[in-house]
Amino acid sequence: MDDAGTAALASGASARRYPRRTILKRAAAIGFSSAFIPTLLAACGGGSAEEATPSDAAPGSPSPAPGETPSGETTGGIVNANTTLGDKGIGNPILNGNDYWTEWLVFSKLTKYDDEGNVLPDLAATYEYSEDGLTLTLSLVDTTWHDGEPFTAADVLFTFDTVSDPNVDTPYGSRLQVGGEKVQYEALDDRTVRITMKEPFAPFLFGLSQIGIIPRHLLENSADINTDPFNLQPIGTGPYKFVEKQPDQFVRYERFDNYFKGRPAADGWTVFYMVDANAGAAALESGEIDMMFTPPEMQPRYEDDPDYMLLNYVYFTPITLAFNHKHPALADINVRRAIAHAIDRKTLNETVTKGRGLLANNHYATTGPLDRYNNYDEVNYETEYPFDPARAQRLLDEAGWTPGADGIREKNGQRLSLTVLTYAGFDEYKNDQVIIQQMLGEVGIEITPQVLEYTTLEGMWHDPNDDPMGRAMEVQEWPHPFEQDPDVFNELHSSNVPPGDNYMWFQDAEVDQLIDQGRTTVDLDERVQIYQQLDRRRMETLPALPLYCAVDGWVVSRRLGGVPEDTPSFRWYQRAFPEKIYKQG
Amino acid sequence: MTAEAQSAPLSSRDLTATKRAQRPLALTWRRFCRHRLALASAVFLVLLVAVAVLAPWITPYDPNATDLNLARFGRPAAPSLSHPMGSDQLGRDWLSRLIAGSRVSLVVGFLATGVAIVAGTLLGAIAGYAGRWVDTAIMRVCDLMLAFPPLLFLMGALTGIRSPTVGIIALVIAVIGWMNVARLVRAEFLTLRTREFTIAARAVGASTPSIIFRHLLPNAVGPIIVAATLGIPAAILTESTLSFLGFGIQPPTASWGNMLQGSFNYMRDYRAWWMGFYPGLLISLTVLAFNFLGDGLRDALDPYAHR
Amino acid sequence: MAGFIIRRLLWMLPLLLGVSIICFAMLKRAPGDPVAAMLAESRSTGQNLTLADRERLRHQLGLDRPAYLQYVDWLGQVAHGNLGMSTRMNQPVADVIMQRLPNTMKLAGVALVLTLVIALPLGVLSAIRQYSLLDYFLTTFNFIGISIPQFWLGLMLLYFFGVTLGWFPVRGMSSPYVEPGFWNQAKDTVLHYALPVASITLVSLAGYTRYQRAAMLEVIRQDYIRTARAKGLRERAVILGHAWRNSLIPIITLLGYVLVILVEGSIVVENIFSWPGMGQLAAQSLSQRDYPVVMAIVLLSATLILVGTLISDILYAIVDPRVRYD
Repeated sequence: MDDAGTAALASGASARRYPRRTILKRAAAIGFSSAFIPTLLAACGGGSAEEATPSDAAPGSPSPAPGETPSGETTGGIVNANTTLGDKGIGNPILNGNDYWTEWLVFSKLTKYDDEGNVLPDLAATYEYSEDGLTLTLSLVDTTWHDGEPFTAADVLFTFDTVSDPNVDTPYGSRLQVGGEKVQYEALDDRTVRITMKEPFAPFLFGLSQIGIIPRHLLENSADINTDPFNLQPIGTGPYKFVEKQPDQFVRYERFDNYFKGRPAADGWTVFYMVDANAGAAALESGEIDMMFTPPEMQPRYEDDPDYMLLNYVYFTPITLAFNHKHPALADINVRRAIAHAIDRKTLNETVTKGRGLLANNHYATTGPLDRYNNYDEVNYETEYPFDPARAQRLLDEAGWTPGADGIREKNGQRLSLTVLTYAGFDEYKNDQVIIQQMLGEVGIEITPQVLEYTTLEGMWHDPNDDPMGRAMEVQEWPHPFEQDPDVFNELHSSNVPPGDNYMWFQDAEVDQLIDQGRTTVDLDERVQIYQQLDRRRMETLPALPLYCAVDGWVVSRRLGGVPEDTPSFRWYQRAFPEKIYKQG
Repeated sequence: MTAEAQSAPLSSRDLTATKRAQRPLALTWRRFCRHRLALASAVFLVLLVAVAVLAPWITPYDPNATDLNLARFGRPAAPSLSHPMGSDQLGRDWLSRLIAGSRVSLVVGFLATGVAIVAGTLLGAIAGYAGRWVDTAIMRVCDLMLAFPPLLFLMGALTGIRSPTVGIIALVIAVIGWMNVARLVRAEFLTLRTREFTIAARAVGASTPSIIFRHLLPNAVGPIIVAATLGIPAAILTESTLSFLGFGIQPPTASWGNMLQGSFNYMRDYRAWWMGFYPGLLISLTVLAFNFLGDGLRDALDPYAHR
Repeated sequence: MAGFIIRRLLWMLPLLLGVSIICFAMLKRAPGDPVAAMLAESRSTGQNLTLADRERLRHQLGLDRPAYLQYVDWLGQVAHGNLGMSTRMNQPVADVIMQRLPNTMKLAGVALVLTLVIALPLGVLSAIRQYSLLDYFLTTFNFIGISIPQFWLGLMLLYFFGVTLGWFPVRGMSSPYVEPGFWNQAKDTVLHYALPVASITLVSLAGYTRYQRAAMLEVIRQDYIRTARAKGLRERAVILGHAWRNSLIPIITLLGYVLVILVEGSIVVENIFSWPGMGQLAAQSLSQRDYPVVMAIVLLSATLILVGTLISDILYAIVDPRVRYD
């Protein structure tokens, strides 16, 4: 057991600052046996922090009555946030590169996903699939746009039309396509929309939840939606209205009193553009902003600070060491297995995530919404590929890679020298590279780490003629599923090799088949079964080696109310419930 | 005097001797003061270069070797007996990385300046001596590069190059640094070209290259040396700024610039002051030393040009 | 003289053309293009551009044409006064730049004025009181000022005065929560300008004071100063009347280069202090491969540099009648 982690956990538990779920999470990360956990939980006594439903544990309850929380605090105030994505001046949520906060504060979706993977009704009060999974019927709420015009099904249809228009610069065109064909949609009346598709498609609902609904009455006669002035002065149905923007400085939003979910908790929001992480941290400290995304190396400072909450957010899928299967050496499964045995994933995780990350023994995070798809019976990377450098060396010897004069293995005159790429901006990945370089060096593999700009990497990924010798492995979160949906079609299916998104060139017939099945099965239980088989097959074929589930953190000032301290993902909470966050005092 | 000596043309050696005799031998109190600093700086720099050259043999640890036990949970280790300047978040010895980094930073500085000086001198000499359209052409190219905003040029040139090598970075820095030297040399050549010794040399049939290299260039050497000494610290500062912006030498190769850049978070959140203090100190001291040296040299070589 | 000016102005056009060609070539060499940048961004927010989308976007932006044709298209546009559309922001480039240029100019302007106002008297003082404590202090300060990396200085100021002491805000030009009223706004503005201006000024001060001191020293040694003293003029009259003005000559020549220094310093300082200016715009546009914006910024900066050096050359000729341009 690790003393530092234990001490931190024990002191946190006895200070009653950690509710039950967090303790379980942290205990799992540190590797406690299940026997020790009851003792740890007992240490926090029967305090108020042990609710079963996390949302009740927060000082601000989920649905405050206008102006007051059950505990009597008044809501209101201006919430200050920042964005590091830079000012692109696009307020329209369906356009490429649109502004993040505008999308979630000013606009609504048909449905949203919350921080636990549940589907939340938004503009669609209810939704229902037909028996055969081919028809989806949505019932819409009765509300108005920020300018007072009524919201109707016509707006939804207009949004769908716009998104499917090839002249519109939107990334969402593919969300309305199933089986290669555009879905059909119609309005049964002012409050009902029906969507019909050619075959059942499980990820459809998640894709639909990404499309912000835009007003027909303001945009239907637009000459060019891509450059319409609406984009600089957007109007939506969300909890906050857009007020003004100072280019590259900030955007101000104001409460929309007639929001259909009830009066929003804060008076308004101000979002500052701050591209540099150091500048953001400085602004947080000086109180100019109230919340900020922080990578692991910035987090320890806020851990015991009484003025801030450190909301750790575990990524739903692990950071992996992804293999380029076009590379001649890595195409050999035994070389990949050897690499898996040569890496001490536990120490890597601890060092790089400062003890916060969860060691990844499956393909989805244990604490995330995709956990139900993990095959715990048959899949455990720790038991299948334990840290065993001796075994790694044996496997490499057997594969024909024998140590050369300088210690680096060779075969047929080729040295086993591999490049590991990652993209700039994350210290964590760079640290990963260095540690992997050291560990693989011990078994005779020479590693050259390189750090590239994201844009450059993107170019390489989609180039069918990209040279695998220059990109043997990557430290990445590959393959990405579809965020809240486990589908990995885009990145793991053999039909999507570059110029598609399967940029690691992985090809396996059984994996293909399971992916196809998983997409077209709408019934949840059946789907779970299929993905568990896929889980096992992935472990056998090693497209990538899961390392750890990265833990990023949002540091949130305690001046803010309506933020539950143990939300599994603040990132999703702020998207699902922005109207609950407010500033106290 | 023999008949030989009377009729022989003035060689460049005579000229140099004449010029040297012109420098005042009696040092004033002020110049001696400056001179002391310049001397101290020279000593410091010689030591620094020695360290950089011997780097692979004198680093106490391998600068790239991680020690995950030293840096438990990614916490940089404070200076101690075994690691006099502490470690970073992966347990790499900071002193060793500083020594290794000295090599990188100094090589970038010397190489960039060297290339800039050579290119600038050549182009300036040709422009100054040949005159007319050659001069115009070269000077216009000079103006072109001077008009280009330097940092943007560097950023544009280095964008997307993965792990740029010391050579590439030095080359790119040189590309924006040769112009001043060229102008300087050209100015010198323009004046010298009309002097008697040049005309005399041409009259006896000396070839153009020989005139340039044996007669004119040695007289321009003074300002060139000063430009070189002041160009090196500028190149080092530029490299560290590029690292700050993410364009310079990429980790894990150590350069003072990227060591500084990677230290900010740890200084603030882990109070790991040593991570930023030492590289910053070394950069500043090195730049300072070169500046003193350059100032001293300028005084010694041409005391009437207070610029 | 007039001929000199006209010739310089005429040369500006081909020089700017050359600058634009070099810039375009560099942008094209860099791997990735605006669409790759869009894809990268879309990933981070959970959107996903499909291959078909990307092809369509590339065609829309003309990226599937050969590079030299793209340049010719761009040149044609500019000749008609159209700087193009920003690929990142879907707004005309001219708008995007005009939103941010004044901010950089304000920052640079304030820093420049402060530098001159402080450096001139200090340099003069340092020269006439040579070898005094003041002189040594200033000389040391100067040397340190030119040795410290500017981004280091900026970050130190940010952390010490902005975060630890909390005396100054750490981002931007203004706060959205300022009470209306002239004095409130003025105070807010001054507070926001303080640290970024200090970062630039402290470094440029070091350079300027040195030059001013050296220039002043040289002037003092001149014969006509000795004559003035011999005539019985008070020292003060000598300095303020004669010496000071003549020492301005080298300073004026530097003014042209000041524009370069300031526009460049802004990239780093704006990054640290989240100042909404051209420096930030340039850095972000470059990483997002927003070609039209980068081209426009480089062209603008180059023009500023050329105009600046021309002005300083003209001033030099006016101030020092010994200088002749042939």
